[in-house]
Amino acid sequence: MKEHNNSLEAIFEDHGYITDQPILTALHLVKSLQKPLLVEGPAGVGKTEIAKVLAKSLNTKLIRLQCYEGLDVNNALYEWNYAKQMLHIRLTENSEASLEKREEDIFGKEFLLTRPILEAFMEEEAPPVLLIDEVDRADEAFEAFLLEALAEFQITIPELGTIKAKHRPYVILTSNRTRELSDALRRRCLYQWVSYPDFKKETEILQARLPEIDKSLAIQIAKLMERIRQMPLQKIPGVAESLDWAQALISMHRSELNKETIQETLGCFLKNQDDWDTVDKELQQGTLLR
Amino acid sequence: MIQSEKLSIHLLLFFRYLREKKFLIGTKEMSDGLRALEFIDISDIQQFRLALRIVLCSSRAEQETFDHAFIKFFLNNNQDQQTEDLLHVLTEKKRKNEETNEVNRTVESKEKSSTSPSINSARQDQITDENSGKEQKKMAIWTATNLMNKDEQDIQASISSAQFETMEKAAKTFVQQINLKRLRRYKVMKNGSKFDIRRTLRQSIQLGGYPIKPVWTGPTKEKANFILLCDSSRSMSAYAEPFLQFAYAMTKCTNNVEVFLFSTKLRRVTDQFKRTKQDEFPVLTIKRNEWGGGTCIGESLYSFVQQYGMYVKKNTIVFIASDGLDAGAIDHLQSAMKEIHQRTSAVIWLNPLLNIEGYEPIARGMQTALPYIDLFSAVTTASSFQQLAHQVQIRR
Repeated sequence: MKEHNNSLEAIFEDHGYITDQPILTALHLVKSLQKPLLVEGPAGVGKTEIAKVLAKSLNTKLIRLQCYEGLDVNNALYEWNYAKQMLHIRLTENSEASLEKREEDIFGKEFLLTRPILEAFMEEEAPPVLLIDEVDRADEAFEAFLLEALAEFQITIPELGTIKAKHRPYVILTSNRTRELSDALRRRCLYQWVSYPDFKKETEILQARLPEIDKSLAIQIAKLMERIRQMPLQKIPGVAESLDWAQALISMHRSELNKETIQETLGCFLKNQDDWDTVDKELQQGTLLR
Repeated sequence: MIQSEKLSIHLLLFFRYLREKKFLIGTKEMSDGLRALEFIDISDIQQFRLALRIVLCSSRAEQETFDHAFIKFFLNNNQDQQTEDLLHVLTEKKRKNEETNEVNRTVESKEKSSTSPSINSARQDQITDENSGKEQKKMAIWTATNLMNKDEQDIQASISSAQFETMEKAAKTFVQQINLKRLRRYKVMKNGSKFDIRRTLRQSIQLGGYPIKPVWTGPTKEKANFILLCDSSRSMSAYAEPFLQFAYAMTKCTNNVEVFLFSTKLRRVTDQFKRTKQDEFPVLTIKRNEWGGGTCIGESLYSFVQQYGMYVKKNTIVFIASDGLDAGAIDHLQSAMKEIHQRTSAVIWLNPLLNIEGYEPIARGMQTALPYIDLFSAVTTASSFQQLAHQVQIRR
């Protein structure tokens, strides 16, 4: 497994994603046990990116289902193309086909609008990566539906019968913990917590995602971010904010961080007035850049 | 190093131990745990640990418990003796449970087979006596006992069933009484006030274009979320019980509730409440340093905001039950209270010391928190919780 992990780690690094042993082991077990993986963590730490890079590394399709409150089976699984069915009925009104034949035609696969989950089950070539993003935004009714789908990897459509997944997709669920997920869903998944990276890892991430960045600037950004995350902020900046900030500094041709530069670019990683005041206070006192 | 022939026994004991710690581990999870080991190098302790952790844990809190347990089971030098001890304790527990079940089954079968009314009434008396005995146990005062091995540093705290029905009514009153604002978005409802022509026409496509089933929408009220933070320090040990009883009642009335204990550390106990069986009362399993110790209110609330800040939203009502005697840093308390106040609909502080004649909230913790409190009260009984629901003022 060590060699496998090393190769997966190398593939992830090639795609600009710096992993660690827990994530690699989790992905290895997703493939081996064919169980979904629930990835939890604060916003902006790279949970969604895991699924994207996994799909690239396996050279397979990524199918994404973005969850929201009110998401239901019609938007996640399938819906009939009613307009096309109506049109087909009108056009074949005077045909000589029997009623049973016409009814069979109306509920054929050409009238079925496949949504992400069914699309993942019906994938012919290779097992895709099914990303169910921010599952905590969906409501409990949708969670109950997911239990059934993720347990057996098959769906029953009353008009068509049971559709079993030809290739079991690799399912990655992400959650920002805006609400607690049910025990039943958690039991069906492997679990991984992804937190903010430490200074060393964040430096590697910056250099991997922004090859043009100066190493010393990357180190300064990572050090400062580590310090800022210890502050009592309302919205702690994640890796996404670090990358945005680094990108902004590169475009402004700044190669080092000083008081003026930080003050000009606070908006790249702070999205809240109170947080802005907190960091600005530390900056003015000189404690931030010590 | 564990001997290979003992590894399977050790793993099963480990799984059972985690299950005792309220992990969601059934037969399927145990089987997955064992299967996961087939795909890794089990001689690499790091991979061994990670594989089990990924399969057996289902939350971050469980990962922390898992890590402690893993060190104890697989990295401790006294493994053999501990294995023997744990095996003995778990076997004893199982035997006692089986004996209790057997007694219950015997009583039930005798009751069923009996036909004489006098015999029936005698059986009924016997059952009533047994039930009242159980009730007496349940109504035991607030106790804490050691769990298994003293090195565990876990204690159990049971919640009383006295006056629970009144407490449950109080919780229902709270959930129904809290009026948050109406949402702008209209939702589909049977008795809605607004006829939704778009949805009606959309639905009519399935019915051949005939709008037979009209769709109505109406405004909905925003649902309130409740967060209950209970001070479990030594000074609050006599007062925490009614609050935790109320917290349990709230978890039975609504899903949108989170319960935390804090003294020197913060601990989420919502799952322990929600996983309690229907006809039982929760018995909280908590670390020794989280119960009956010192108080760091500020640090605990600060770490609540940091770790669980995503639960603090504009439709949240926060209850804090504490006497305000804070031994920690005041800055943290001020910052945490300010943030909680800004982001929520109401902050209710329940201080039992307010019932004491002549008490003034002059302790620095209370003074710091007071500007951020919407309702400052001292409820200690079920009926007073019910009255509290009518006093809450929502800011948004």
